Amino acid sequence: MERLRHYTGVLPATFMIVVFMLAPLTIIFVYSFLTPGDYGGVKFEFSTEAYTQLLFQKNLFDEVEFDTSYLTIAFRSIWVATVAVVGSLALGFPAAYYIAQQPESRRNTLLLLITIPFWTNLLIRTYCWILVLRDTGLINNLLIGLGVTDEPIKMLYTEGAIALGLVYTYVPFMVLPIYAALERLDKRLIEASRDLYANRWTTLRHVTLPLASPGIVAGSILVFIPALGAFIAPDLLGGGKKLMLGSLVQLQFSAARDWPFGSALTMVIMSAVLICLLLFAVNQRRNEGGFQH
Amino acid sequence: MQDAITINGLTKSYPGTPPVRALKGSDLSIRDNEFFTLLGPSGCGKTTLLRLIAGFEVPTDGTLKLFGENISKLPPEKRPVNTVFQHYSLFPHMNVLENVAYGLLRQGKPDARRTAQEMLDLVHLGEFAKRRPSQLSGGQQQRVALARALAPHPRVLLLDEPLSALDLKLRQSMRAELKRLQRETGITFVFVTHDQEEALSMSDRIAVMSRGEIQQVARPAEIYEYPATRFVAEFIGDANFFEATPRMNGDSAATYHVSDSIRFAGPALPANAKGGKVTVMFRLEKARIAPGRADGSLGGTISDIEYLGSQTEYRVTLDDGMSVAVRSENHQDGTAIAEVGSQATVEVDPEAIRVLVA
Ligand SMILES: Nc1ncnc2c1ncn2[C@@H]1O[C@H](COP(=O)(O)OP(=O)(O)OP(=O)(O)O)[C@@H](O)[C@H]1O
Ligand SMILES: [Mg+2]
Repeated sequence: MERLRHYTGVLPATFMIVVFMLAPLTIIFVYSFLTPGDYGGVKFEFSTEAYTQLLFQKNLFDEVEFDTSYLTIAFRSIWVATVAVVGSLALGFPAAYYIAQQPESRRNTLLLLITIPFWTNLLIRTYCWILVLRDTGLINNLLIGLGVTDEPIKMLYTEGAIALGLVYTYVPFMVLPIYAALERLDKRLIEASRDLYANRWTTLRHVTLPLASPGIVAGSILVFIPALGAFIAPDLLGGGKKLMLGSLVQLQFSAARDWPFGSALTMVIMSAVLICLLLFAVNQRRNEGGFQH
Repeated sequence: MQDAITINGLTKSYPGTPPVRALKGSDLSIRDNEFFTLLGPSGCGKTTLLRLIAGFEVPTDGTLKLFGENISKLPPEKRPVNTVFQHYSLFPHMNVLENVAYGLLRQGKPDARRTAQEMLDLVHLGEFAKRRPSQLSGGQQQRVALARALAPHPRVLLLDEPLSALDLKLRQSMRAELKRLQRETGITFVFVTHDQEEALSMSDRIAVMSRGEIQQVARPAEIYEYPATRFVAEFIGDANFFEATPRMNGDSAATYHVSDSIRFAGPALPANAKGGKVTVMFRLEKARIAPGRADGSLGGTISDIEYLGSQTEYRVTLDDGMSVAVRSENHQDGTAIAEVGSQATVEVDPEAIRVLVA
């Protein structure tokens, strides 16, 4: 009886995992070993072409050559995602810290404000950034109007614009876990630190930051992973000229009509992220199981 | 010698409707090198006073001096004062040694590590240096908190009910340990408790507080023997109280008339008495009880007997309905002097009578 109840209890969760995670993953995994169909889709013929394509390219003479173009895209994506994480942290930590300091009634309002951007479509919000950043956009008009510069500063279609768009999109994912960690933090520890000759800053550094680090780590992961696969900001703000991983995958399922390659890319990115997370978790455990509360 | 802490008209109101007046214009001097205790019931403002001294709260009014220097405006980290918190508040992400060294490191003291280790040895936790606070028992955490607060050698150490979370045995051994540390370090201790036994046994002087006001500041024996107010007399120890009309017998003695049949011979009326009725009191163990009736004494019927181990408490209903309690030592085998319902006589020496005007 107990057992039965146990099994019925986990049923919804199992259902969710199978339908929304395992099934799509299996399809992607299978597709990545098939041959591209002529008009998209796949032909059911086994092939590892999709994977070799990642690093090797056939030249005009049908010889296989090592090719770094996709690696370059991967590194560019990692770099931009890292910048997005750092940017979100720089913005998100002070925001979370500020909210956690407010009286309780005020905090919920502020948290709601943080999530408000989610209420509007991402595409539209990203378009708005084009209006802000382009040569005849808000910022450049303002700068020229103020006489700071004569010619518009090129901001749109740069890697900086992509990073900005990513920070803008994902910063709430940084704020929320850090806020949760700071809110849980025992305020009496702050007083203990002040009592022991630490001023505000040294207290932040030696007590608040270390104790909030689980939140910081969680936030960084939550920003890094979607930023790595994002394609709206790279396409719209980067002009699609410098490809990112997300755009590359998206391209395979649309214009390039190479579903197996898109699937293979997805599998490789996902595995890489998983391996990194695992290594991180193991390392964390070795450091005395992280922070005990 | 200069006083360690001097407060004048110190007031603290917390915002609210109406505002909470946690401390109402207190005056107090705490001497250097003293084991000073703040004693009072829950909510009387002990923690508030301690937090004002530590710098976690800003006074609403009044001044606060540390060795003659006004520190009312200094932030906590600028005050040479450390706190042992009630819930220890050890840093969970640091090991025991790092916790103890924290204050020294923030002060930029050289040899922080060695001093911290010495401090740990002083509280007998030398071999626990590498452990996390969560891996220690409550009593050990308490001693780490003590070592952490003592390590920077503050001029004043504040302790907010540091023993309240410990069990009875541990609490008693920690009392002795705290006294020893205070003597060995020569640091002024300001100790908060609502446990009268703790206060009486450890302190050089005690301040008894009630509803944000300091009622009396004195040595433990004086607090017990000569309470300044009825609140102090009731809060510390047990006593019988009577409303009485005084009649002077010369300059040094008076008789206090409680009713037609009850009167106490006692000391002269205090100079600050306003006339009219006063309160007379005597401690339960200062009176004697004997079986049977005798002339000229308090007589009545024993209504209750309580055996307390080393003592027995008798409750006697006097002839006119008032009741009085007496405690007497159990010398031989602890049998009561009489049974419930039998007649008894209560005797009180004039020297045991105290007159309270507040
Ligand atoms: N931050 C605060 N805001 C509002 N009122 C407070 C605050 N802190 C304390 N008080 C009130 O001030 C009064 C004194 O509190 P305090 O904590 O100093 O009492 P205490 O003597 O330490 O009591 P206890 O023995 O229970 O610790 C209480 O009535 C309390 O409710
Ligand atoms: Mg308190």
